Amino acid sequence: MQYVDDPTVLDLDFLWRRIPWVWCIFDENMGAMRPTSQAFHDSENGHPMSVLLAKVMLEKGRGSNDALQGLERFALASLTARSVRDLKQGIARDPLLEEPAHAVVFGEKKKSVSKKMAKLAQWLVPPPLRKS
Amino acid sequence: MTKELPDFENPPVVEVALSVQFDPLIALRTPQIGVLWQQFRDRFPRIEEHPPLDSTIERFGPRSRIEPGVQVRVSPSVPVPRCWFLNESGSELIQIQQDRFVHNWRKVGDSDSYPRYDRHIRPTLLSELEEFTAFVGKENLGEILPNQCEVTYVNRILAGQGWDRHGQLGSVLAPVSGAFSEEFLPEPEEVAVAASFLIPGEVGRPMGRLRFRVDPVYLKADDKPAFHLTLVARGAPLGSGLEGVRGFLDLGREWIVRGFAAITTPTMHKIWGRKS
Amino acid sequence: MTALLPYSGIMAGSITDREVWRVPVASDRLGSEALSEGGRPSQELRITIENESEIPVWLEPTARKLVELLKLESGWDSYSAKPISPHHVEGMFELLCEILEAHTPPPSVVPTTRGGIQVEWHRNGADLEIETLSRYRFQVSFEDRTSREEWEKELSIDDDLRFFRPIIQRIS
Repeated sequence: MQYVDDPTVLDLDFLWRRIPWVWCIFDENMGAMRPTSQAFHDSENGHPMSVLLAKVMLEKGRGSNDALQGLERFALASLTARSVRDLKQGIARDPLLEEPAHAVVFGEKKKSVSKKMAKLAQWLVPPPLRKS
Repeated sequence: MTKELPDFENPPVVEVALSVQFDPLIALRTPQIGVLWQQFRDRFPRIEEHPPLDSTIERFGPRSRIEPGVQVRVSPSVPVPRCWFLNESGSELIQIQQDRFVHNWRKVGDSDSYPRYDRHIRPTLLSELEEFTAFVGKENLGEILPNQCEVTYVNRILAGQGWDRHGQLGSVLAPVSGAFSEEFLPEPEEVAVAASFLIPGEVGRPMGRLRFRVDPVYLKADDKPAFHLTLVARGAPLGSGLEGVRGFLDLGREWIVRGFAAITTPTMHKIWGRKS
Repeated sequence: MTALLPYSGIMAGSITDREVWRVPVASDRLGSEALSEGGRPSQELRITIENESEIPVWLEPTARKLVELLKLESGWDSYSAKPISPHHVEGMFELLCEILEAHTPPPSVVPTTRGGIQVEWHRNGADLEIETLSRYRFQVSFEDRTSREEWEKELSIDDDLRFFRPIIQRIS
């Protein structure tokens, strides 16, 4: 499927990404927990990386905890659309019946791209702190 | 095969094995191997189970010579066995486990003669491997990604032709001179030898390794002395897929045949009827 | 040797000069459920240490983490992630035993959606990540903020691994 970057997703819009706790690591250089680079790859089945559009969520009165509904041991991280586009990725709305805020971040995700996204991501729902 | 290799009328070979190791197929468990056997059963009506072989890969460089102090294995509580599919006489068999496919020929009866690599063993292995690959695909068991190939020749060199006692290994093996610096020790009771050689590749990186070892043995039937000379060539496939496997098997076999001729003596070559 | 790993009735006992740790990695589902689609039968993570070898400080924390990760079922990322392949675990340990020193700090260990594992260190101004691609192949990426060195490459266990030495010292 061909995806086209959607300009109606503005640069300052936020993209939410669900992060299972197993993908949360302690970065001693940053002195903080953050997602691993593994959290920012396309799906195993070839589908581009799934995100939630924060604007759509909030318009529908849904917050960060709603983004994790039904999921145990998950955190929620946020990236700006701009930061993702700076890494030569595109953003396309992909609303699903069960999730109208669904979107995809498409583009070649080299290791360097995933690593940068991992360091730029900010916690909305952080994981529990652990240093190992 | 265009290269002319040393050829013998009566080589002392008693077993040949061609082995392909691949990334483990976790979904290939005992029931699936049973289903696979149905495809081979007409040719290989007998089946046996054996413990699986450890995964192995040739390593190069100084640290490859050091045994690891720590080893980690993750195994299922019920391990998947290595299954043997044997022909009626047991002279040929296929060995299958989650990460290995092997074809063996072995001399079972006195009248069995070596069926030749080019004419029989190689094409048989490749055809069986194709069948196995098709089965894996059809049953959705994963993808076969070969990571190592191995060619093994076992020779049984009987006493009474060119030598009589184990201490006379020098009559069989050219690198063993049998010379001592001083006259004190008697003829050795027995001698065992092992050596390895790197199979060179491009850009200074070896393509594999040839190992040989000679062990003194006694035949069960009549207690007569013999030597077992085993040659093993192992390395990564030369490229991807079946083509890469074929490439290394041919290279390994060439090194074994040339190596065999290089380490054995001209006297023994005459006894074995060297043609070239 | 004290029982360091959480397994009741731990020690299998010494076998000549070796000590063996066995740690069951049971599926969280029991009985017939464990064999249904997505469930996995129990596995065993077996660590063998030669008596004369110094036990690396990174060994136990890494093994403990992997025991947890081996329990992950299909779809653990809420999408289509695969369970961790035990062969990737073996391959990673083989590489770590080769390149790490006894006192190298333990890495963070995370699963990949392809059924592999990634170990990573982010300390001393450097970042090192090693991901399993198969039993014997890995992808390595390194970044040093001080020297601005940054690279990534694929390697095989049978490659010359001596280039790791200064990197391991950097993150130690």
